[in-house]
Amino acid sequence: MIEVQHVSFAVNKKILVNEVSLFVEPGEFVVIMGPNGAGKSTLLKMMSGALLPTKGKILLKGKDLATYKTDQLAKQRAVLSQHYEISFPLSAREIVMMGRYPYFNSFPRAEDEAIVTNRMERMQVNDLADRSYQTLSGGEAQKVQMSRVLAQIGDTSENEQKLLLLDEPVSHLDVKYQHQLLAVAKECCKKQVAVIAVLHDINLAIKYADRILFMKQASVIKNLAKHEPLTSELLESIFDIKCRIINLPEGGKFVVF
Amino acid sequence: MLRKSKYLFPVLCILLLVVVITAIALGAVSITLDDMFKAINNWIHHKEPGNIYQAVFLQIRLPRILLCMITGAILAVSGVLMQGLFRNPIVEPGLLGTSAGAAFGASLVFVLSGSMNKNLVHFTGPLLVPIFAFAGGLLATAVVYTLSKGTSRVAVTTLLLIGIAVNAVGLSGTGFMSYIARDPQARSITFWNLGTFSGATWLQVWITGSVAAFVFILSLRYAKQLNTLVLGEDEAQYAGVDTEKLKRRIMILNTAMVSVATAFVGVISFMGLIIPHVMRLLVGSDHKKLIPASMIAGAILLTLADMGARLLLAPAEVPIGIITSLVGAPIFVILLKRTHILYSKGGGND
Repeated sequence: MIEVQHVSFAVNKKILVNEVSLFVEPGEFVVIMGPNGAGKSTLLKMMSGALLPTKGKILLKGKDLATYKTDQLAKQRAVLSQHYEISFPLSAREIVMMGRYPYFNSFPRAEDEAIVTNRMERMQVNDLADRSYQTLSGGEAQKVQMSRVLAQIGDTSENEQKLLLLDEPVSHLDVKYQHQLLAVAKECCKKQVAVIAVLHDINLAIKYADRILFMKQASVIKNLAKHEPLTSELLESIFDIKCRIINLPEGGKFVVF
Repeated sequence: MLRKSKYLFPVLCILLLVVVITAIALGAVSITLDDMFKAINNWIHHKEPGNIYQAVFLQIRLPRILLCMITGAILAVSGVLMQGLFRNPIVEPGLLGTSAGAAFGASLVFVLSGSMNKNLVHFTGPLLVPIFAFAGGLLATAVVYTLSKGTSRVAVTTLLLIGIAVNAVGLSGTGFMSYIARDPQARSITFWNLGTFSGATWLQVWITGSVAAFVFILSLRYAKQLNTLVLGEDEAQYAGVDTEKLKRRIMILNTAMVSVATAFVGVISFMGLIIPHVMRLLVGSDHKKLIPASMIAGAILLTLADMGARLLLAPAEVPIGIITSLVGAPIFVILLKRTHILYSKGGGND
């Protein structure tokens, strides 16, 4: 799906991302973790096509990401950003409909309306449809934005694979909806979507990720697959804080810092 | 709420019709509906107007009202485009330096036409002021755009600030011209800066009308892209909008229509600011509805304002800019107070 080849990014000689390589297949859920300033968001931005790498290149479906046109790219990948500021009052449904904009000309087709309704149901924000976005709470707003991004992904299949990028998607959500959002993203994976998410909660990462990419000081420290052992030494070297890994009796791990 | 109402557009259209007919009927001479129909009928059949009222209707009142409607629509749509582009509800079409540049161009003609090339003055005739105003508006906007084009992206805040700076330069240029002007010239400058429709001709109607039609169709095509811009520039890009291209195109459209409108009628303030606000309350912020609604509302309100300008001190005329500002400013403040919650997220944060 996406192939990051020896990519670096530097601003004014300060290196934000250093020689990162990554290969993500459709159906995979990859989580990027690391302390603040590790270059996670910059890497995600490069994979979204918003930033061009200063070195190396990124292939999306075998084609150089830089050669995609903006509107073409919008049909291949969707991005959920950390923070949204809406300048004018629009209803939640109008916001979600924007996810379908790349697909229709002037007016939404029945198909677009159906997808919008479906995605809002999936994120459980249907009852907010007519509310002004600006009156929503931070969590509600985030769920509406997630619905929009899911609408942009649209329907996927074996020959129609897409990329979903999430930048700290659960930071405004309460526990229940953190899991709900990630579970919805995980569901997308079953339908040929590759998901790459920046997360801060290691326990969420353990639960949902097929692979965790640990970054520190602009470089990838470890690309950890699900079957590989997670050690407290690794976590301590990344986050500079003592931790304990508890093996749960029902299987799975829990990390306490 | 009216916002969801399918009656809004029919209501606006009927309102426009009523206002236009009233505006045509009332004035220094009153014109009956009967005379209007007969005049149009005669005109269609290439006959001379039947009486003086029909002549006044065809030659003076009708072009004036039409120019008024077109200008109102232009200012309102341009306000919508600018506010959408800058993601800011208090942006005015003139902010890119267009109207200040146009005003300076016009003042140059008022003061210096005596010393200009006689052939040029003779050749252009009544179009001399519009040509200079148009050139001034275009030039000022080009300067704003070029200066704000720093690295690769045009940052919106930079654009606004440089717009303010260029506006100030334009204003001081106009101020200087009024200072060195003789009395009647200075009066012309003042009058022009407040806008007037008193000299409306069919030629002006055709020119502004064709520009407006062209620009409106294009701006409707950008409605969707302007909507996504509400999310922010990066997000608009993720949603498939080439934001740099969009900015460039909207700015060209805006400059073209504001320069043309300003060139003929002078500077009219507040229209481009208020109408998008009011319409956003009525139809919401979806540009697909906001643009056509503002277009009609702009036409209605400026025609009403012009009616006020003609009737308030009849037979003398008040410059229309005085009316739009005097009525517009308080309405604007009231709206801003009442809708405060709409624009500050969560309400009461500031």
